[in-house]
Amino acid sequence: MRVSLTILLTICCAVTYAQDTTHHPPDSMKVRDLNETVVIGYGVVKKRDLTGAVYTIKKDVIMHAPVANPLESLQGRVPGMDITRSSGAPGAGADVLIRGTRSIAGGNGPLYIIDGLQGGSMSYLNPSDIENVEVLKDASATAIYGSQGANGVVIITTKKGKPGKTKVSYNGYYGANGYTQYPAPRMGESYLQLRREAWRASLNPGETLPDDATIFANQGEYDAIQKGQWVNWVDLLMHNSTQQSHSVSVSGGTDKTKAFMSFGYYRENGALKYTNLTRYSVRLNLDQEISRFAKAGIQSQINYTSLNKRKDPMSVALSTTPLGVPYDAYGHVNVYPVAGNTNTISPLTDDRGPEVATDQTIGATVFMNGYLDVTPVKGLTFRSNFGTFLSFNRDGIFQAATSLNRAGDATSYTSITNGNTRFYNWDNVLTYNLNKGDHAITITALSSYTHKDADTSSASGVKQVLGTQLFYNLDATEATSRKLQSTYKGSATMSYAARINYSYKGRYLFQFSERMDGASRLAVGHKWAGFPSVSAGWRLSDEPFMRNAHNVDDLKLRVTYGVAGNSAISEYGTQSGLTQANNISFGEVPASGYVFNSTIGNTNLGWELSATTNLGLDMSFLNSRINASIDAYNTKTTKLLLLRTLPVSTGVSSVYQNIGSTNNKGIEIALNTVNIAHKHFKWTSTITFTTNRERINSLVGNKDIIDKETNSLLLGHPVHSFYTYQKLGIWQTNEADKAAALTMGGTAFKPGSIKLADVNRDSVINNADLKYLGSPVPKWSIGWQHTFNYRAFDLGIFVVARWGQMIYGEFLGRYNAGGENGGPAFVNYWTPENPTNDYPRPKKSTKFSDYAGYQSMLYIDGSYFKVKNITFGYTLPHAVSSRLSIDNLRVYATAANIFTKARSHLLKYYDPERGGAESSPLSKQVVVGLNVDF
Amino acid sequence: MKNYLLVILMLAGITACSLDEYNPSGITADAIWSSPEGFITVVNSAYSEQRAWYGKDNGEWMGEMGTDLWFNSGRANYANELMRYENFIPSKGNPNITTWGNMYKAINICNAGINRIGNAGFTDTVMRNQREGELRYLRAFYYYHVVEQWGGVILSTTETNDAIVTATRSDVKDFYKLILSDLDYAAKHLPVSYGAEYSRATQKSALAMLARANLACAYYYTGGEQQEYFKKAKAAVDEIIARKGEFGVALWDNYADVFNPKNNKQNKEALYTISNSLTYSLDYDQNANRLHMWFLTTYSSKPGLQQSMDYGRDGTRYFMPTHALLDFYDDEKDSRFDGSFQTVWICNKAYTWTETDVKNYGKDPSLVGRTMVVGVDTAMYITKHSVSDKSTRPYLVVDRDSVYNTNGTIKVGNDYVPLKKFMDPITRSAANAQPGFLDVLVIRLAEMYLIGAEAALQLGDNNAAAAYINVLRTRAAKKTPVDYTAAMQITASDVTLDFILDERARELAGEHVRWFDLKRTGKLVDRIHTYNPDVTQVKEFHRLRPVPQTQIDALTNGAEFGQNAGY
Repeated sequence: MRVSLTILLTICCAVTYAQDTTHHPPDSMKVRDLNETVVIGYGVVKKRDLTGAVYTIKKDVIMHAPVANPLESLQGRVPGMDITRSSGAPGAGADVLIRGTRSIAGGNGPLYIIDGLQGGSMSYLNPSDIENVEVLKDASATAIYGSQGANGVVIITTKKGKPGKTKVSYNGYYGANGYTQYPAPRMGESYLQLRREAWRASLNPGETLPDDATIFANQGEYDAIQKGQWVNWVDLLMHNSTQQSHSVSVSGGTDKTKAFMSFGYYRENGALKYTNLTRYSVRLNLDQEISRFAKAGIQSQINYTSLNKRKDPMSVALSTTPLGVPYDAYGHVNVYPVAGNTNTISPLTDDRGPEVATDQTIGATVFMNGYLDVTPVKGLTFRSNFGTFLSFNRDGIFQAATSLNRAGDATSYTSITNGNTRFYNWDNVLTYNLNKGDHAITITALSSYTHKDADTSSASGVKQVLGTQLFYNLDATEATSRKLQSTYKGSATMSYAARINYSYKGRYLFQFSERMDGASRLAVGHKWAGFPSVSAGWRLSDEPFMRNAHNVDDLKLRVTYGVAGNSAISEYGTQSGLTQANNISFGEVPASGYVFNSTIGNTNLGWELSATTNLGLDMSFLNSRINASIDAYNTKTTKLLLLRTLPVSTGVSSVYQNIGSTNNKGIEIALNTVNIAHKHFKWTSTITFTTNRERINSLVGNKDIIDKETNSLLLGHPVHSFYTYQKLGIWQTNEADKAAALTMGGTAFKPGSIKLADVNRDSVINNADLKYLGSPVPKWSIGWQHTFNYRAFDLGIFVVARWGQMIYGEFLGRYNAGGENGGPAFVNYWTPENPTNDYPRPKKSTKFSDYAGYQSMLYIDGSYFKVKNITFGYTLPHAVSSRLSIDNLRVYATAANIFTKARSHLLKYYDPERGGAESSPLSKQVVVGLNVDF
Repeated sequence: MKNYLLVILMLAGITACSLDEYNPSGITADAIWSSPEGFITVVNSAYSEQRAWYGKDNGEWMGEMGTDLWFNSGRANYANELMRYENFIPSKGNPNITTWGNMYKAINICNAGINRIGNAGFTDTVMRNQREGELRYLRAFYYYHVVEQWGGVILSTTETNDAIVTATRSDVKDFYKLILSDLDYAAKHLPVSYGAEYSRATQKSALAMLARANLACAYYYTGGEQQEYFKKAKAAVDEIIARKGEFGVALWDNYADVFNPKNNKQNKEALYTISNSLTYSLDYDQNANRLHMWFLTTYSSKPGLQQSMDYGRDGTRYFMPTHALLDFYDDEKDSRFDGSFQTVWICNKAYTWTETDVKNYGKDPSLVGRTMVVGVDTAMYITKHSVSDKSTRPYLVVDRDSVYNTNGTIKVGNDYVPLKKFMDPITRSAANAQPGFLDVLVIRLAEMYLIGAEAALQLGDNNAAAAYINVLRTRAAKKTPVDYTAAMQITASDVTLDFILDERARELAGEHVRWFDLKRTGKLVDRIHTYNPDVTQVKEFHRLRPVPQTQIDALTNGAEFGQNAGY
């Protein structure tokens, strides 16, 4: 409701301004936009002829605010695309969902196509190398990708050289991260008070609270309290981190030869000591005309990445006793901070350096794509594209006996893993264009072959003595502990597809496509599957009856239907495997056996199929000062892979079958408005709005599959949902009778315990009272960009909201209800004097997880509104820059993640975009940057 | 020119590339079971799950509980489903659920091997037939357990390689057709010996199973057909007896020697053995053989006693003998009582009677201060007879009257005469260690004489029946100080089905067979009522176990498949 109001207001605002200000249409919004081409699968189409739901993001949006991973620049900017940062750790990616979750067993991430080649990752790309990004959302657009299209397709086109003056650009920024929103640990008097309250709650009538020396029975702890040795572990662990990126590109060329070259460097130091990411990349894109009929070219990039990770200590930091001496007199970390207590290892233990904890991944990726374009006769183009993507990775780990990872085992651990991946892709595309009078027809036929294989080898051992050897001398590990492993995985696909686009007077548009996919991972006799699509468009604005609607520049209705696949079947997923059984002997003679894996292969497996109906409306009014696109869709995904429990009499346990189905329905709105367009002042806005309703339609035997709180599959609810008791509050003193009437596990509730919903009103809380509480899927989300230009200054404000989702807040369960160890300070617990409804009454020697129904408290409303970034820039006036032989110079400062407001008061100290995890919190960021073109 | 180039490229692109899967690091059945060297692994695996039955609680529960021989009043809440038939419903009774799964898991492997052996590339047909013989022996062995326990349930002869979610019932007679034809094949092709790998199925094992299976099968028929099966059972018995020397099997001279742990490995009386390796990583699980602990009475808390290797890991108390079982033995003449049960515990911890203990154990006050000498004095005596001077004897006495009521019900179930057959003082690591590594004698020669007797009786040849039984009774007869051999002999007129069941109890108590015997002979309810009055809820339908609910739930035609009658 509030959202529609906001959209309405913006439209009104734009209309008002449009009517009373000058009539110079802004440059970027002219009708000729409609003649721009949009990259669709295996071809391009003029925007005006597009029938599918395809959303384009241009390079200026990608470069608007600095990001390490270009995916992040799409966050909140593509309607229907839900992007959240995976974590705050260096090199962390982003989680991407287009139009909800369809698959239960398979992946739901989109297919990425970089310069026509699949298999790469967007995170490898330098944001400044990207020309534009197309997001294909409906099945009429993605069905051409067949079995891989159902989750949407993101097509990235990198920059090409242009004939003329050679252009040199520098794009760089430097940023500092910090002021992380994270729950502070309880310390000092508040900590003492909690422990006393926990004691108090366990007193028998007539007993009085003993003194602190009795309550704090651990001598080391008691001494530390007397000395006031309070430690905020979270603070000591989290440092302000830095991020910098520099890239230089050179582009240019002649009529026949065009080149684009770039060099990039990225470095991020994480909030935890010794965590960092370094990346170098070199790109070369070359296009060469061979003759009037033929041209060839390559796109290539080589990356080198080095990533240093650590076991995340945040959960330990939150739950460790906030007492002790963290550093010795020389500033070195005390492994055991509380004197005489060698059970509790310091959360800072890995701060001692790589010889205590190392987890280093280095890798190189090579991306090479060559093409040949031949135009033998007018209108006929043949393009052959051969690309390869190679990656080499090495992951080395050393964990000392006193590292956080090995504290439980008390022995060191060393391992090294090498992985190689090879991918190649050969596409041949034949395109024929025919324009005759009012008729325009384009026929595309293609074949595509992909081949991917990967192998890994790893070795590990324990009890290496010298930490300084890191993982470079596995011989130093205990011989009997060593483990060796090597694996191989390979797959291939062969596909054929055809597409026909027909346009009558540019007013009536039709498209039909069909793809046949053959896949090695499907069983013989079931390898091939077809994926059809059909769509139609009607440009109403070209109709005679619209001729008088002068304010309408463009009005187009689109209707599409198509079927795409979710490639959820893994390699060898249809084969039945065996497991070796070495525990067999006859007499004392050992014997070797193989037994069937409990999950058998199913040779009948096929792809999960997503059939999408999409209804779209594109509008442009008032000289394109208002552009809007609305899409409504309904995706039915059937033949979902589900693990089916087999009757025990089969001798095996389970098998994957194509039996489930899900449904995603939603509405997406994108609205661009030029609110003010004065000579020196311009205000433009972009709003994207997404709402998606996701539900499971059928499961095995059409029954809910009840598992743990977070793993249950519930008919009629989203794929990922939370299923547990519902918390209503805390039982208060005046409700003692009501509380006592309710039992769980034979124990009655009392004031101070968690008040749970007795769903079936039988006065007993048991499994029958478990219910669906919510889902991490938002009800709606919005991205709202405002850009203001005043003379040479520009100001951008980007706001996102994600609303109606529930999160599993791990840190919410860190309440140290017994008063021992540590816990977050924000926990407002019940006492007879503090009748809160937040947390139950503390109780001596009791863990929070022992409280009846504590699970109900871990799942809370995760809705939030966030000022994602504010960017302030200054562009050197052309008069000045040209004197310095500079084409363009812009300096800017960005503040990112600057303000977040969560709906739940329990999220006051936590950035809910992180999704509830307590590790690697997201931080605020301030960045200054420079873009120069010569 | 350019057009040629185009055509070449298009053709190259359109030519389909291979879509075969290449999976060198995974192992599939097709890959490993297609050579003789690899094929042995399916044969070996087929043996695996029998170890989840024998030597484990599973098989002992399913094979001996809920009969005329045992009760577990000291463990009143445990295994009630199987011991007392209380609340025995399809969703409960764990050994019932677990063993159902174990059996079918093994059968699936047998089916895989039997159906794949043709493609295993054997050139040595003798070897090939031996391996198939083992697989068929095992399939018959598993199906025998299935059909006797659960009746006419699912009879599959194919490997599961598809999502099978329906099932149909097969007639018991069809089960036996398969079982007997598999065993005929095995008896024909298995070798006489596998040498050091003595726990593989050999010809004697197949013949022994033929005897068992034909005997059981006969009871599902009437008239002439039935007689044929009894004849076949007897023939198998006779062949084994005739070829004893060739097979290297013989009865031990003394009954007690059969269960002497020193004679356990490669036991000469065994026709089929499940071995447990002393290298425990080769065993089914880390518990290996726990038969030694389930029958014991608590002794280690008693005056003058402590837990020892010799007396075993006590206190588990799952199987307490019924009054009737003890009375089946004439312990004066029949050595099998002393060979099977322990009655005397010698002091193994210095002890002086205290006032408290004297009071607690109801002893005469004069005993206060009396000491026991380790290794010399008796510390405890538990007997099936009545003892009149209990209170004055200087050691603990538990007699018949303090354990059983006169009507045969149990008075107190904590102390009783324990079965000692499976005690393992030699392979276990400590007195309180649960894992034992002795072999399990699944079928031994003595049982053949009992099968022969039963078949002969049913064929109307009581003389032959008595002759078979007298072989066992001759061995069982105490020879010193008085030779009771003659007194132990029976005559044709003594032989009845109940007599044979009594004799089976005397010979085979605890050896995983009692439930099968009562079920086969139709005497389950009758003999429980007569001899085990504490088991009050047994009904005729308990001759079949319930099909586990999980099985029925996973079937799409669960309702049509149906539950065994009564459940």
